[in-house]
Amino acid sequence: MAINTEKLGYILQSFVTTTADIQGAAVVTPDGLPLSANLPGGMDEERVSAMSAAMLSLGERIGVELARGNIDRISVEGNEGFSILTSCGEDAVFLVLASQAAKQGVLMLEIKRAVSELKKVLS
Amino acid sequence: MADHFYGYLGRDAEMSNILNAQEGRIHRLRETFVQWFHEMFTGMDAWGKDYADRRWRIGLVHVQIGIGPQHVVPAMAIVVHEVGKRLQADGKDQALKEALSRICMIDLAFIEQAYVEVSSAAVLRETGWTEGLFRRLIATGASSM
Ligand code: HEM
Repeated sequence: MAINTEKLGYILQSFVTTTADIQGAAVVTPDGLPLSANLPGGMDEERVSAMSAAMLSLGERIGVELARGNIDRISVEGNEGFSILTSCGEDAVFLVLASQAAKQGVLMLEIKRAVSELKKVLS
Repeated sequence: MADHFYGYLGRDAEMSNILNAQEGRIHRLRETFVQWFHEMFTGMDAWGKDYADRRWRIGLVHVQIGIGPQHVVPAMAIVVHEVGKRLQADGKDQALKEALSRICMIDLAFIEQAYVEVSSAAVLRETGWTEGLFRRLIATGASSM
């Protein structure tokens, strides 16, 4: 089934612009292909997409290997901010970039909300 | 041929270590090597599927032990070289030499192909990555080299 990328783009756009401390977001396929991306300028969309898919998959594998059950999300924390990867159903990975100032609890809630919206478009 | 082959491998410290890493390995190998050499002439099932499967399996065994193309290619060169010397000494036809060299190259291609395929299949298995993702990572990585 064809995915409505226009709608995905719209959801990402409003997620990035209306959520505090969010700097970018992208939806990519498990093959690492960007479906829709709203990333800060200068970031290589193709590379970021491939790495995101690779990271989530590897995280899920290590979750199994280390008996951590189903993986909710992968979070990479640096002194400049966070990047959070969440599975968005079988066929997509959701990447979110947030600044250092982001409040974790709020961020997770917003991501959850966005994922359910994205899933509707993807299914 | 086996003497030349193991003589060559034995002269390289790294390969010699691998060969002697297990008790009796050399003896086992000598037998399998002679068998391999013999099969090039008989072709098993007229160089069909069984032949291909067997060659692929040989490649897999080497990947499992960690022997890469950098070892296998020069080893095959030794085989081709020694075959040529022997044929010349026996006054055999040039066409025979060419045919044998060719089948050696085909066998080498199988071992090499197994190396590439087994290496990537192993990474996919460990990481859960799809083939498409793996190719994409190679492409994005290679483009920045
Ligand atoms: C022309 C290249 C080569 C050929 C035709 C060849 C042939 C073979 C064959 C037929 C086997 C048995 C596979 C099986 O068990 O199913 C084998 C195994 C093996 N080969 Fe090679 N080989 C080659 C190069 C090398 C090189 C360069 C090394 C480096 C030291 C090597 C080391 C070994 C070892 C350690 C084993 C496993 C022995 C065991 O423990 O059973 N081979 N090879």
